[in-house]
Amino acid sequence: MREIDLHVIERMKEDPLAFGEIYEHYVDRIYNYIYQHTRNIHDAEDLTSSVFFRALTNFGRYRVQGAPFGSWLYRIAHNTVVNWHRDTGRRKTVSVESLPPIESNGDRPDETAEQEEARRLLWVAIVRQNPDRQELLALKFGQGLSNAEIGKTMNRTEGAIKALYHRTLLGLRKELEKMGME
Amino acid sequence: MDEALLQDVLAKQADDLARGEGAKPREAYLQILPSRAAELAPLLEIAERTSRLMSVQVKPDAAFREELHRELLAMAQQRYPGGWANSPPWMNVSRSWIIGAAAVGSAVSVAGLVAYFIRQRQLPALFR
Repeated sequence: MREIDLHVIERMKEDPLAFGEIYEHYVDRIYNYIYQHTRNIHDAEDLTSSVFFRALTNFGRYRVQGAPFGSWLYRIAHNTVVNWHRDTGRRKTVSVESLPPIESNGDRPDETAEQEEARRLLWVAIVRQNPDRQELLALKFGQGLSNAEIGKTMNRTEGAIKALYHRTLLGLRKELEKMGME
Repeated sequence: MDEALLQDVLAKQADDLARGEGAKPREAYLQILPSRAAELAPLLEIAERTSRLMSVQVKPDAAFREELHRELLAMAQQRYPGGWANSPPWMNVSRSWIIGAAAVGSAVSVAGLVAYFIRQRQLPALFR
């Protein structure tokens, strides 16, 4: 993950407008991360707002010598998403219709249809995993974070993240087998 | 031992995929642990597909993005008019200090109650 320049964080001490730079640096990634969980624009916007307002309110608690700022921010986003899952109980209703888009292949429509079906079934398998596993996949493939960064966000060791990733792939395989895909 | 190595291989491929460099051919990972190739191959394939599916980036609406930017700056200026370092001291008190102060306060209250009850029990004896 590309971290923001520490000078910008330091500048916040004197200049509150520096938060604008912090926001610009992270907003797209945080929004995308949250959208991977909510799969709807309205909730993604609400939760993104909530994350940045919390970050601003709690800015005084961030320690430059501690975790990188991005990990700190992702941790706020992670907790926000966990609370959202808990409060709304929507995990099971993340819909299959919310399948991420794909670039269409105009020259080979049959292949696109087949790929689309495979993608749909994989998406069903992902949605059926527990929140920790979905979270790991979102942070790894949606955000491109390292295992160390994911560990800091999810409050686990790097070894625990590797083991969780292994279990997640096994879980996906099992779901795909149930659907006759493997 | 094999289990840890198997997890390392999967983690290595995931890192390669997540960095957007595109993972190496599956055989490159299978060669690291040939004794578990049959188990590894389908997991590597699922990881490739999952990575492709989940790496689609969705960006926020421009109007929402700008509006939130404005709201945050307004709040930042209101909350930290001279910057965070010049904000009122109570805003910068860390959570651990607040928890510590609350714990001390609670302990003092409990000690006060205990002292009160001990005193109450002793009073009749003093007047006997």
